[in-house]
Amino acid sequence: MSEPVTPMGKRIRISAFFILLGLAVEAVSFLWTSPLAFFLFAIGSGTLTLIGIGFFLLSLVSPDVAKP
Amino acid sequence: MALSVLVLFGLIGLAAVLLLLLAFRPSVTRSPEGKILAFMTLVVAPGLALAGGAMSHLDHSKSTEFCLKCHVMEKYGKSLHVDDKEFLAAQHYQNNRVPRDHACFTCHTDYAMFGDVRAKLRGLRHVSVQYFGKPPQKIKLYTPYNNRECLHCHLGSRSFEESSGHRGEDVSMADLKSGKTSCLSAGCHDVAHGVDELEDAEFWEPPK
Repeated sequence: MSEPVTPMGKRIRISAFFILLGLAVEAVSFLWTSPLAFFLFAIGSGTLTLIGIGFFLLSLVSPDVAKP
Repeated sequence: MALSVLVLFGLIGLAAVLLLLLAFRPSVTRSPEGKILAFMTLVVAPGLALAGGAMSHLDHSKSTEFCLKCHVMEKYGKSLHVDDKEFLAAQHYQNNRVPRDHACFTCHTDYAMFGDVRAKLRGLRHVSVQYFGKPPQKIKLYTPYNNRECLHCHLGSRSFEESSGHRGEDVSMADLKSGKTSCLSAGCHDVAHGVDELEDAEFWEPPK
């Protein structure tokens, strides 16, 4: 964490955070045997992971972070 | 735990390690290889994990065990074990006319284009009513049972085609195939689950 963080680096961290959270929720949904696990996967994991992916892809075309 | 789920756990674990690397050392993305790594870690790996997860959850939701988890389905699960040839679902289940681990889904999916998707959307609706709404005391199909689902397996089979009941004066094969006469008509196969008759019924258990 000691290296200076560029705007792109900051956005990568935010994306990584959301995706990690989404993947963790997905892992939990596989360990839970209730029919609600599918809801947890679709709504919880799906939303968090897609936010993370979308945030990273948007940051690639954002003009203020063109160079990492 | 299924092999596909174990593979998914492996993918999630690998993605998590790479995500942590990117989060703590974002400077690795400055090189061309780093950019490829970032794209693979932040787009491809989570995308694959999501797609694999969706497939795995959908597959699990086809299981008889999954359907019978809801309280309202208990009687329907019990009806599969009735020791009476009149009970259509029980006969299919006990004689392996449907795979026992996918018994509900085999008869209650739509054998048409996007039928599985429609069946799963109905399933999501059932789960949401079960947990977030008020499940009805007596459940029923949204639409009358379509002969197409029966004919998917039975059409062309000798016992079905040669049955005198399917070629009688009141019922013609053409009417069955066109859906004009329902397979579940009174006097034909009208006891599908018979959940109102379970109290007096005898039950069969598969040998262990």
